[in-house]
Amino acid sequence: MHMSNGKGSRAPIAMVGIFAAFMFAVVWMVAVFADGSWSFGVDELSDLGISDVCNAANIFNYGCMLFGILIAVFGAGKIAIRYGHDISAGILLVLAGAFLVLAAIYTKDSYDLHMFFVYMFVFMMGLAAVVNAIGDFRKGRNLFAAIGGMLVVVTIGAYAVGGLAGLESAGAVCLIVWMAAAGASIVASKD
Amino acid sequence: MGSMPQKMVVGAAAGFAGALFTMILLATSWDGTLDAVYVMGLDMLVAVSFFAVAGTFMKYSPVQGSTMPILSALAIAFSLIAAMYGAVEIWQGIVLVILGIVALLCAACPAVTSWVDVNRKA
Repeated sequence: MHMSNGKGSRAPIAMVGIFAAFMFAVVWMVAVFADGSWSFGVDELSDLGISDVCNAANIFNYGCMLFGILIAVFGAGKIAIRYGHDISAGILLVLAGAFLVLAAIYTKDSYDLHMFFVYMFVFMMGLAAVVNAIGDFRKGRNLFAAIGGMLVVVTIGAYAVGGLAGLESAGAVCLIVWMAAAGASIVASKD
Repeated sequence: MGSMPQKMVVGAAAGFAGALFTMILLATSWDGTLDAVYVMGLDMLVAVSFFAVAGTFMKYSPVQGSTMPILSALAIAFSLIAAMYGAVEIWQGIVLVILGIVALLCAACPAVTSWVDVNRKA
């Protein structure tokens, strides 16, 4: 079932996506507990990176760097094993991963640079999700296309409702779900 | 032409239940102020999307089988946005999301999509 589709083995790539989702969820929770004063939907995620609690800032920044690397590896994997829209989505994921690593290196202390990398990450990630959903739809993976589209709409809605803090909080949850779903999509699909 | 899959009935019921539930919320959210219009607008968006979901599970579905999960997912997305905005209570949002997920799972079933594709133009 998880054998080669002609371009390479799919299972390791799928595991990278699913592991990345769980890893970031754990890192986020641990950083929030370590910080103690961070509130969901009120504070920005970037505030965790410059937390007064040194451990929370370190855990979050290094966690984001690792998450960015895993996103890039997942994107590279999609390029290696898939065709068509999935290759475009893979390229965008590699770029998004690189921007997340840079956003974690240049924290909110260097505000302009940090925000540039954050917005580039959000833009690349959103574009990757849309392209990936189109690819899923064209290839008959309707359930995963629907989930991807739903997460994009919820993230845009969160920005309309809660501003940047809402976008970051809801967007991060959507990103975790999306990475897990994208990983599962690779395992479940037959092409 | 095969018999109608049971999941068609379940999906349609979930869609209608979500739409009627949200219509009740819409009716009760009017408090005589202009601010209530924002809440009512979001409630109406959720209700309309659930009615659309229910419509896809009819024999003469207006959309192809492959589009059915997309509409169900949109209904879930609008329910989540309504809950985030505070247009519906958290428990009401949870009920709507669960109904949307039921419809989504029914819509993603290959037996349902193929039955719709065969029968919608019959």
